[in-house]
Amino acid sequence: MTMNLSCPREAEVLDLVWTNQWPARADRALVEHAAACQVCRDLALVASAVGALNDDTTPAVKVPDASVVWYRAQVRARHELTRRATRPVVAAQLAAVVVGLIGVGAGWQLAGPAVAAWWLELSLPRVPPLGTWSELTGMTGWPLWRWMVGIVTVSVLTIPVALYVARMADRAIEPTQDRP
Amino acid sequence: MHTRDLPIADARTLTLQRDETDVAFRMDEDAFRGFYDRTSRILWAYLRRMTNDRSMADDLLQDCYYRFLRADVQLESEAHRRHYLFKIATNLVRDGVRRTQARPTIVPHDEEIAHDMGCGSDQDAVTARMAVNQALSQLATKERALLWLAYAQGASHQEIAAIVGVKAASVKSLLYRARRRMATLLRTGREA
Repeated sequence: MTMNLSCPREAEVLDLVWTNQWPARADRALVEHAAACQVCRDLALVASAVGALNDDTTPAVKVPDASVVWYRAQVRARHELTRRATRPVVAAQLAAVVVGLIGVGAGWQLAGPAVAAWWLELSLPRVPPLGTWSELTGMTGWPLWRWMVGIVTVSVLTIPVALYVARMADRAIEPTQDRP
Repeated sequence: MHTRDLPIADARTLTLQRDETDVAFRMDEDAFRGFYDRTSRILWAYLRRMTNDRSMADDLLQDCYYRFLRADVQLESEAHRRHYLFKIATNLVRDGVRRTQARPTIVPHDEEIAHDMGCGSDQDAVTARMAVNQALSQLATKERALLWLAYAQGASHQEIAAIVGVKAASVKSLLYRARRRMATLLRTGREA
């Protein structure tokens, strides 16, 4: 059995529904037809319900002023353009960090034995321990010079990474600023 | 007044303000204002029905116009612009639905319906609209879109096909099924 998806009188029913004349002003024959025709019956019911919901709610809708929407769109577009423009800078920062790490690794491979010898030289007991550092050096067994060299090395390696992470965090916050 | 006559701080502010409105959009502000005034209410109503959520409709409204202004397409007529805007809205709702698939359907409360209809609406009308709302919210997003576009906005089958992203030939059968489901839900609601 084939399903009847439409009815030749659908348009008549719809016209009356849209002009709020269904079923009061409808032709009696059409009302009788709609009672018997499933397509027209459903159409009248659904179109009246949805149309009435629209008529009741749409006029009461409060939307922001056009200038507000325009301004927000401008702000958002500007942020987007800025993000797009700074993308190569971020890529360069990332590349710098990677190259830096590779450089340190390569440098260690090349100059590792010499640095190790120098390190041992620094840790020889001929450097007298300073009073204020004596507890620290006593605890770790490391002389002050080894501490200082360690701190400088860690700083040099950490600062670019920290800057990059901070910049990424800024970027993650940015999109929320232009949200309505 | 020329920029050079202003104190340095004021001139800088003026320059920044001018730069701030310098992003090129597909239409100028006056044209946008007219288009927005003609479409924003019906678009919001559409988004409201599609999402069942007032605040989401507010957010999506802004997003729709932004995407519309930034779109790199040629739209000759007002009708084309309107269809394109509604297509953006449909896609945004669809993406949102995909992201929040696990979230239960939100059925608006009486107060929200009363708010939608404006203050002073009588209780019977609110109850009737609530039943329609409840029935609509039980339909799939595509079915809601089809029924709203067809019977709230009076869109043709071609227009509906362009907005919802289906073949024009299949709109009739899709609309028939959506209407059938909605009618059944409305009748069941009335009997209950």
